[in-house]
Amino acid sequence: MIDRLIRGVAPLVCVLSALLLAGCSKRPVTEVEVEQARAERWSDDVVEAFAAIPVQDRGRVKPMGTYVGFRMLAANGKRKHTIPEGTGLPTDGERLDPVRWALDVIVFPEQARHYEVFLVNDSAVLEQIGLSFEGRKRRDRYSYAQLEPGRDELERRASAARAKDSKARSRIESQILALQQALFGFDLLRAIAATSTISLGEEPSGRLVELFPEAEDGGRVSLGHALERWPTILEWVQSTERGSPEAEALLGELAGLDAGVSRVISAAPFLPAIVAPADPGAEAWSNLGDLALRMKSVTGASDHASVYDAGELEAATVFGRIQLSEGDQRAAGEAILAASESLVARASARGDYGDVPLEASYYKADYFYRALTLFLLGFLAVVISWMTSRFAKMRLIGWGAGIGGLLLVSAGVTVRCLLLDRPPVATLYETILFITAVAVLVCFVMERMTKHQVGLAVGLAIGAAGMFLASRYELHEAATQGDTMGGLVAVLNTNFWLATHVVTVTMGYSAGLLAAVLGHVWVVRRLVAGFKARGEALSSEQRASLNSLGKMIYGVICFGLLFSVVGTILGGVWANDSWGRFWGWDPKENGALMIVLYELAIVHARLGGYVKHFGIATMAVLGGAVVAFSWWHVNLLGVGLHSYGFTDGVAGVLRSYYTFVAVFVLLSLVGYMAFVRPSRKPVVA
Amino acid sequence: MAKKPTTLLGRIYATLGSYWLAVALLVNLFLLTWLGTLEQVDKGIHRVQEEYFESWWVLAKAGPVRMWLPGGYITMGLFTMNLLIGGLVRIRKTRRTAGVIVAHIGIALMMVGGLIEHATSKYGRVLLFEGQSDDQFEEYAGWELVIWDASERTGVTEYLIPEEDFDDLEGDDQRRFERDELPFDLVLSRFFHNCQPRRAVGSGIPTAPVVEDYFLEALPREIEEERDFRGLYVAAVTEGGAEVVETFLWGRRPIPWTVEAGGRDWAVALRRKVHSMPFSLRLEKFTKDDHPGMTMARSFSSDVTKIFPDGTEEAVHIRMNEPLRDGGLVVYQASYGPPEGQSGEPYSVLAVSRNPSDRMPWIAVSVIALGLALAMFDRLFEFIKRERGKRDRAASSGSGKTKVADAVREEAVA
Repeated sequence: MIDRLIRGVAPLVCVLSALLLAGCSKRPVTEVEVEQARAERWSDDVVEAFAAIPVQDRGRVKPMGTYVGFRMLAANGKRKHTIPEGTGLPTDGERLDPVRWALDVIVFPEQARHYEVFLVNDSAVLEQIGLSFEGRKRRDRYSYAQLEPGRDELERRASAARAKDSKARSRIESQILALQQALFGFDLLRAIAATSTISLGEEPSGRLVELFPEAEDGGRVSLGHALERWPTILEWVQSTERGSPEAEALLGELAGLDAGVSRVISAAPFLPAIVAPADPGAEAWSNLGDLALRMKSVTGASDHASVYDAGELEAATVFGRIQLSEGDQRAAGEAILAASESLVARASARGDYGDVPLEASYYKADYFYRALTLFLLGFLAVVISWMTSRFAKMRLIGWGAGIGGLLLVSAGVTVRCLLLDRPPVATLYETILFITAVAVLVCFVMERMTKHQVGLAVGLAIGAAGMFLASRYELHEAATQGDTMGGLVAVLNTNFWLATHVVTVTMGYSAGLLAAVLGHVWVVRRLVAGFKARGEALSSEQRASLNSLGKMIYGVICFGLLFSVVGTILGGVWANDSWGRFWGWDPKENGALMIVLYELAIVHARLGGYVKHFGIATMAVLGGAVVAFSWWHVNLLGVGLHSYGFTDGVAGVLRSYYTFVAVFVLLSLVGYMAFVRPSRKPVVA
Repeated sequence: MAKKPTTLLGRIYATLGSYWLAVALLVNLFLLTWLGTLEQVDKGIHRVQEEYFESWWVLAKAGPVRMWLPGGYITMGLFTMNLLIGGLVRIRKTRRTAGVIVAHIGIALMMVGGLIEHATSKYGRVLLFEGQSDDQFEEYAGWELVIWDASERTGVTEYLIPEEDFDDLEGDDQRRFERDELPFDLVLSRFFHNCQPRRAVGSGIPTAPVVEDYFLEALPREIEEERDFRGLYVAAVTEGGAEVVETFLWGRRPIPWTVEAGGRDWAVALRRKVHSMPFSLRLEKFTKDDHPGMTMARSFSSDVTKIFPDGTEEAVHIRMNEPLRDGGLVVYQASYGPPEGQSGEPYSVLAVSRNPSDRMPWIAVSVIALGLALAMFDRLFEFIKRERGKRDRAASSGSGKTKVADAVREEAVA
């Protein structure tokens, strides 16, 4: 019966997939002129060395690969870019990952400026900043060079948008801000290397060249050398009388150097920190701007050693060599290897490097994207298996892909726990991963127990949907937070409560959503069966199958109720310990309570005999909206103590979901009146 | 089948313990929670709590529609009866219902805890700068009028009028308060939930009596209750009504109003309700520990000294999720200051609660979890057993399809 029912759906899924693939079309490519283009691909050892450089950002030490990965994700909407054929670059057709892209931005900025990696979701943004491009789609990607003419207007409009409350911003204003941030991210990457060197001025004096013999050729010197030899410059200054002609001449002589140092200092608030402190008790790392800023407290050679340690200056010096390579790919590669070695050694010496390789492998493994692929593949296999009994074996592929996907999600979540040294759920992003994993696992267990093929298909669909949602939310986090593993607010820094309340209540969400999905399946199947039966009673086989699925839904609701009740009360106990009250009618607390009350109402309605399978399934569908309200919507209200999640842009998606649920339930009731009620007449023996 | 009750009392009893009442109450509580949560955006948590949950009836707002719903008192009152009658007394006592009964006991325990908390608990805070000490905490929302002999320097006795005794005074309503120990009576009128003094000159027609060129102007209630400042007009009647002096009191005014009567100076002030602690707390050091390289706190804590009346001292470290529990009080690390980006002396805000049912949620959650787990696993094992039986029968029949005979046993669909 199930086979017959869903056999009609299978071709539709295949056709949709084909249409999706056909939608990917080629875009026009323009030839670019670059003075210094990269001649060959970056070697793997250079890429790995750069990716492994430890960076302290958003309160934790992470690999440079993670840092640049989120920069690229925020700008491009994905972590890859292919240089199209026909640009005239020696590396046409090369596929760039975030690290290779960042290397180009740092070492070959002129080339990287032409990469079309800045996603503009609506061309109205371009119109607002006075740009227009022929033959482009409304949502398209552009290069830094293409957007540069509109930069001033973009900055002006971004400032105006920033001055507004985030809720008062229009969609276009939010996108203007996002684009401005993406371009700023590009500037920031360039600045990582650019701030590692300082110009001595257009015509450096003899004694400056003598002090900095490394700058003889280009007039540039690494920041590390400048900081190292600063006491000598101070001696020059101190040997002249303030206001005297000699002092004036000296100011002119040092003007270039001074301007360079000021530029580095001004970048301090934005640069990622790459230099670990020597003091084992200190936690905050320094960026190159911070190092330059400390120079202000140096009064002479006597206190220089107390302000800087030799390792810091060496790190700044070797990093500067990347910039000083000036487009020489081999020299740049050697400088990167040296810089990575130096910075890694410094971080390792104080025990800050331990998790960096694991994190690098986490992003390299791309667990969740691969899981998405497997879930989709598995779902497709199961759909094909429904078409005809000849393809029944495809179900095994579905099982294999599903279990593989689940293992990948579980592995990804486990690695995150190891990296963050805390239980699996503390942020909204992590709730998506965890809820998906639990729902898929429950589906597979159900399938194993009932063998109705519904659990497998639903599990695979939920897995794919969950991973897709996670990828979309990661994109959101990239733009707003720059990470999905950022530091937690003080109240969340408790592994006991994260492991108990958060995990339990999240499992309750998971069950509520799973019941909703199964509810959709049940209602559709019942209505289709009723429609086909044309008022006659269903066959006993159909009834048995629907009964079994209906019981499954009720079982999942009971499972959800157990975890929601315990999780909600544990939340109250946590609140009692942290904020001094068990219950404060905070929206997040209320959301959890709503799930409990709703599921209790279903259970009691069933026990009282007021609803049977159809009622339970329909209520389960509505329950999905209740879970969505509790999970996401309460964060949008801007009330209470639980404002941990950043959820801009989620409101529209939620509204669409609520509308869908309302329409579905309404149509279900209409369908019930039309196709289900007649079947109530007694079966004629 | 159970007999239907024939007497009126029997029918009421049956109704109070019925499933339909349980469903209706759960749906109503769901609606109260949902609509109340949405209304918090405009009214704030405290006001919604009062209107939706600490009320008999509520005019709830559902988008553009307004509807009357039974408030928290009616709902919870009926719910308690329904739970006791339906969930504990009338329910069949079998192995299958054992888990549900245990869960119901847990819910009853939680409701008892909630009732004790509602009736007896006190919540407030104490704000301390480093080196400062205090043995009182003030409530977030409750206010009181306090009178004391300002001529006394030690052993001062305070006379209190709680807000509940005058918060209904609107317009020209007034109420007289007298006490034998006081040489004057107080006549209170014109209570303002949130207000500010305003200069009469240049303000058009004053909306309240003008006292020394100022009058109290009503302000809309703030979303955060703590930001509301009460106001009240007060007249002191001395010498048997021969002399009357009038003023207004405003919650934000730090200096009390003084009245001369019976040869002494009496101070009168409107303040947040304060409660004494059995010990004094002195803040030694407040520590905000930021995530490295960020201004976001990963923890904040207070090193305090607990000073008992007999002079003994005890050092205590209070931090998020690790409160101090002593003498029936729990002291939590709640907040700190000055706010990010503002300069000033660091201070710590400690939340204080006196809740006799503090531990009840732990007991309730354990009992409920046990009950639900019992109920759920009982059903789960039954389900697995049934499914396995069906499969075994199908396998033994040699057919891949489920036997019709098995299916007939299933319940009717929809």
